[in-house]
Amino acid sequence: MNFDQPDNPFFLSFTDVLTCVLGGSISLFLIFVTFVKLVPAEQASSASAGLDQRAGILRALAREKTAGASAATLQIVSESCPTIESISVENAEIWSLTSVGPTGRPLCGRLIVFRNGLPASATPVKSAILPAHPLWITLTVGASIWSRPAAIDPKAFREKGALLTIVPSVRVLDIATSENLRPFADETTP
Amino acid sequence: MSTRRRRPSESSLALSFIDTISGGFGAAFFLFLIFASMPFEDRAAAGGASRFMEIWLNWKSAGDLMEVTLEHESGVKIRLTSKDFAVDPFTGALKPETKTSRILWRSAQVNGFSWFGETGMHNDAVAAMRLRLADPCPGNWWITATLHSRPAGEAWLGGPLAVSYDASARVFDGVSRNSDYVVKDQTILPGATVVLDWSTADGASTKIKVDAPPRQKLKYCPTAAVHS
Repeated sequence: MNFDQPDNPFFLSFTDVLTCVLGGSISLFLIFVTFVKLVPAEQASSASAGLDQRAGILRALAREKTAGASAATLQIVSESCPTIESISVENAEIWSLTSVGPTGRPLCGRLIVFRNGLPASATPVKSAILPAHPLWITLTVGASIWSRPAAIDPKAFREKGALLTIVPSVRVLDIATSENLRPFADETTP
Repeated sequence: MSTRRRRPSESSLALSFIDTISGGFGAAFFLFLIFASMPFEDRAAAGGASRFMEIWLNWKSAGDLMEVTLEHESGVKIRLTSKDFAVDPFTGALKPETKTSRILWRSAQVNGFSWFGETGMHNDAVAAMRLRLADPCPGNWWITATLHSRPAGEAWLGGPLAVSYDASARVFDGVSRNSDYVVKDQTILPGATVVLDWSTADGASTKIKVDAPPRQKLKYCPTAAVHS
């Protein structure tokens, strides 16, 4: 046997192989340990909550036929009681809400329940009286909740003939307001 | 004088031992970058954003107050009338008041629940309360209903009046399955507390079963039974 250094540059000695195996296993260990820690299932930062909700509503809308996923409620609360009391919605179960605001003023509200999901056709939420105070609109679809106060714009209220309309699209609610409110998506709206 | 062995000139494409190690580490680092930056769909895959439990309690006496108490199999009991919770009057969001308040959900919404009758939900003569929990803790839940009555004196003289109530609950597993629970036409006396006995598609049960979301650990849920 020739104990001189072989001329073949690809020659690997036993030690080389051992070192490579050790190096490889350390790398694999690092990859898997770090990889497991990076799976973000348990992280719940506020930044991702909005995205979660948005993804949730989109999935719920896509699965309109699955009753549970899209079981929806629309809650409208305001200090403008005459407006709230004249709210009417077709083909919906409506409950009246009463409560007291933080300043001690009475609040009126309506809870509109769609047990089998948001309606598949445009459904206006009408009222005869223009509200003098903002409306707090809370939409719950499945486990996703979207809640914003909205000041109703008199011009839009007259033109649309409704406080807001439930529309069967990603927009979800068409609110008679000058603000650009898009339920579950307005976190990304500038 | 020692004689040196003349090394042959090497090909420029030859790989040394150091090259092999370096290449191996380079590949491992590359794989790491690929796996670390892969767009994992965290909650979506688990359906976590859609899991919910909703409980409705309707009673046919708008002058009375009813409340529900939640009991989880871990031993955690939640009374909404405790000072641990506050309800936002504008949105109905149920928020823990103190840092020690135990919660069994990611977010909760409540309507028609009241401490002293300051809040209510009515439809003609029927009063109701509704509680929707997003991402409830998995396990068995027991729901109790209590009637807090404030009847007029003459009603007491004639004996307490029973109030008839209905309840319904729906648990959605976040993917495709609804479980519906119903209590029909029961009566309850003022001050009484009853564990709701549900009829389900699988027969009668006092428990509501909530499945765990796949591949997801809910941090706020009790991990072990706390039976106290």
